[in-house]
Amino acid sequence: MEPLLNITHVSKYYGENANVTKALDDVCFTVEPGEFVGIMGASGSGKTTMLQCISTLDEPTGGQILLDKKDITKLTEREIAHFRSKNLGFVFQEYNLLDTLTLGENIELALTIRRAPKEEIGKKVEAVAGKLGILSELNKFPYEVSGGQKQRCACARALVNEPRLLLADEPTGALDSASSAMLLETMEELNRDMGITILMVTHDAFTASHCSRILFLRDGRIFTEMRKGKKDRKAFFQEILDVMSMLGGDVAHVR
Amino acid sequence: MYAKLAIRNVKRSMGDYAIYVLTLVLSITLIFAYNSLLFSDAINSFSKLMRPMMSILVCVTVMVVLILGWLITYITHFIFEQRSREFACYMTMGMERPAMSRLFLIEQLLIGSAALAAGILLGNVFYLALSQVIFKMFDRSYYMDLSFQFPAIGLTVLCFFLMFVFCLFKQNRILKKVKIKELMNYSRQNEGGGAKSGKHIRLKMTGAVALGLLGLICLYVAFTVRIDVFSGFANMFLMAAGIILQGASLMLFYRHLANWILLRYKKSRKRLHHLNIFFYRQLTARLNTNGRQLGVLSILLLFTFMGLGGASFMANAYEDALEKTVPFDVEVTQHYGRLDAETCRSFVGKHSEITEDLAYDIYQMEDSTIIVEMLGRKQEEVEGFEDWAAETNMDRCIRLSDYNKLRELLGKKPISLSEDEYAIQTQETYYKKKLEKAERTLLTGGRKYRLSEVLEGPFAQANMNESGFGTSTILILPDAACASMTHSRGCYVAMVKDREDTDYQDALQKTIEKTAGHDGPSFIMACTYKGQKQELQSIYMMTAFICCYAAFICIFICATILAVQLLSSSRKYRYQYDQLRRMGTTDTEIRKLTVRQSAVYFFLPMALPLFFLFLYMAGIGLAFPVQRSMLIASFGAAVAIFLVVYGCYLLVTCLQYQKNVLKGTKQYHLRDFVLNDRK
Repeated sequence: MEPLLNITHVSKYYGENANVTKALDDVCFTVEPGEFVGIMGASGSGKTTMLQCISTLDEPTGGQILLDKKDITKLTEREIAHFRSKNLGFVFQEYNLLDTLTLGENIELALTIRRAPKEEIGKKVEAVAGKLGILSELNKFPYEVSGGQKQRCACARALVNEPRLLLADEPTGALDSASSAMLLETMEELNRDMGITILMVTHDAFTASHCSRILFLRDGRIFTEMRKGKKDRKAFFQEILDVMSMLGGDVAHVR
Repeated sequence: MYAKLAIRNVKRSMGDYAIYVLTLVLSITLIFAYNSLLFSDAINSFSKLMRPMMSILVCVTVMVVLILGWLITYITHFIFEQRSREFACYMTMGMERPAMSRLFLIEQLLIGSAALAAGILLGNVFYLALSQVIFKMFDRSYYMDLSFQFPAIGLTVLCFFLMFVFCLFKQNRILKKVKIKELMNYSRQNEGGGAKSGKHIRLKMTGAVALGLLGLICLYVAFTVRIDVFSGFANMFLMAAGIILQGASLMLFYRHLANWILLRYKKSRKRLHHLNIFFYRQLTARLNTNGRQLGVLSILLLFTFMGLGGASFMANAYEDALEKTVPFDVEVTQHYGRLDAETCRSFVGKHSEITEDLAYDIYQMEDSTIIVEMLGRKQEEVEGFEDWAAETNMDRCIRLSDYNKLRELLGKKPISLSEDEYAIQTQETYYKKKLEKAERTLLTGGRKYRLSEVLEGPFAQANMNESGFGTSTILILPDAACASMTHSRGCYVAMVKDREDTDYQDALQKTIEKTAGHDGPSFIMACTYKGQKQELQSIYMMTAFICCYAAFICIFICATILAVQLLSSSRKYRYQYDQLRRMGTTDTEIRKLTVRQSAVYFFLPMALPLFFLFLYMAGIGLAFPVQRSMLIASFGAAVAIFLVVYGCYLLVTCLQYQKNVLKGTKQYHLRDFVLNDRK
């Protein structure tokens, strides 16, 4: 099968001359269609930079990012905007809902930006809100609902355009454990039942245990990779913890 | 250490609030230049009416100081709000309250003092330009008059301190009481004043507009109908009620505007069009937060339109008024009693070289009132003055031979009338049309006269060659017809070699007054070209200058508050635009959105005032049809001037808005537009 996302020799440097920081250093990996990939690593390891480069919010210093064989680093401003609205969905730790809009309007906006036919908008919003369990909250403003509902709304907004790739940056970072579990189960369902490809950045082992594959980043490079395979979530969670402790030990050793 | 911190903070604030600082500088420039006018001995000596005009200027300056004080209080509080977390941070690091309060005061005073210094410097330049214009207006040779300098600077500094001290005192009190926890969330508080309930919005909005219309009707009645209750104060009460109702209407309208737009938006078919959801929700959120301020701004904008319109009208009306008042170089008239024409002649002869002159009489009919009837300007009887109304309404006429001589003095061809014909001379085009349409037969002394023609043009028709009161019209009858009529007033007119040298109006008046007998009433009025020119210049042009002063300050203040509100929210909600970009909105689309947002936000506070202005014009046009065309032209020009100044603020705000929300992308600057134009 052709990979959906192909990252080859991507690097991202900040600063100039002697003061250069390598946020990403020659990173290569692929993501197959329908995969649920997690990117883990300590603070400053380059996870968010990686996600921002893939999401076209930042430009890599070198390398290629191919989505469906199309190099997104070569797109013009207009093409990037079109590309984002057609192919990508975003979910962030801070929800990033527009607080002057109701939850329903937040989801609708994603469709109106794409200039979707007006008669379809209502149906699509209801369908995706129903799937994520926020149908009764559509007329409420973000400050009137819980963090979990906000994040599910952000998810609904990201999914309503049926993106090729859903990018999530610490989606459970601001949620309590019950809300986190509910959101992750929903994401797993979306991946399993609808075949949506998800790329999620997290530093939390529990969150990562819902993924089918995990890439560990350290100092801007891929340190190791783990696959869930046939294992159940608990066993995979334990394996992740092992790798994390090994990573921590290693760092301690270097120090 | 704190001084260093204060200076650094000021540098940073300068960038953030450049528009506010610019407005302070421009306002102080105007205040200083006009204060300088107050203290300029040379300008005050130009006319005896300059002193009263200067008293009006002082009142306007007090009003300007109050409004600017409001702006400074508002913006200082705004800056404080934006920086509240920073202050909370200082407090958590152990900075004592008085030290922090001092730091903020020093910062604000530094910004203010810089604006004051720049304003006084620029004000000097502006004053020099303004005084040149005034010298030229009064036909005086210009000389550098520096008598104004120190008192004007003193008064400007006093104004500045009055504006700042009150505001800083208030802010200081807040700083002394506020707690760290409150400071942390200070910027998240809404300003209050927004309408809480969204119920019965249509009714409330209709009510608000209806209140405004009721206010307009009150004003119309107050100016056009005399109401004899409350010891003659009814008209003043009505006027006050009209003004209060208008103000209440504007405040209510803008308080509920957000909910009304929201109601329309929810039902609109265009709701789901591209970025409309975002645009309307942002707009209504902003309107809801700033509803009260927008109400005040709309009142100021209504004042601005009136001020600019008034200024434009005065400037336009001056030449016209001068031409109509003194078509003859010297004019003397005496109501009741015989005018001593010889004294007039000898006085004028002594002071000027007379080229031609004429002494003549105006006659009163006892049995005809066709002029007031045709013009619809009949005086109502006032209790205690019944005779005056009856006498005033009677037609007055001039002999054909005298009229023709007067026409010759003005360089016009004489007219001829047969024995059963009469003519009418009027000053106003509007009246000419009315008189021609009415075409009444004159019935007096048992004889009938038919209308031959209506002549129009300046003819000294205020109180002199005039029938009745405020008609600016008189009848012309064959000489024989006037022989049996009662003498009403005596007149003397003269044309002289140099009319600019007729600066002896008051002396002439006093001389003629001495000749009037003391048996019975008499009313003498002497006008010379130069005397009238100075009086009209003092009244018309200085009123125009003063109106401009108040109007420009109001525009600066309104545009600044709108700009600061927009720009601070653009910084605060930048993440929303980032989110739009993540969702696939292009930078071009965001630029268009910001232009739309800024333009609509600038337009809304002027929408209802503009509507009221339109109704004012209609009302004034109805009540005073003579001035209709000049009024429309003047207020049209006023709106155009307003839009240019307001538009400049809008353009700068728009560019800064885009800069704030599109950081890291291509920025447009003013120079880009200039360069494009050149290409």
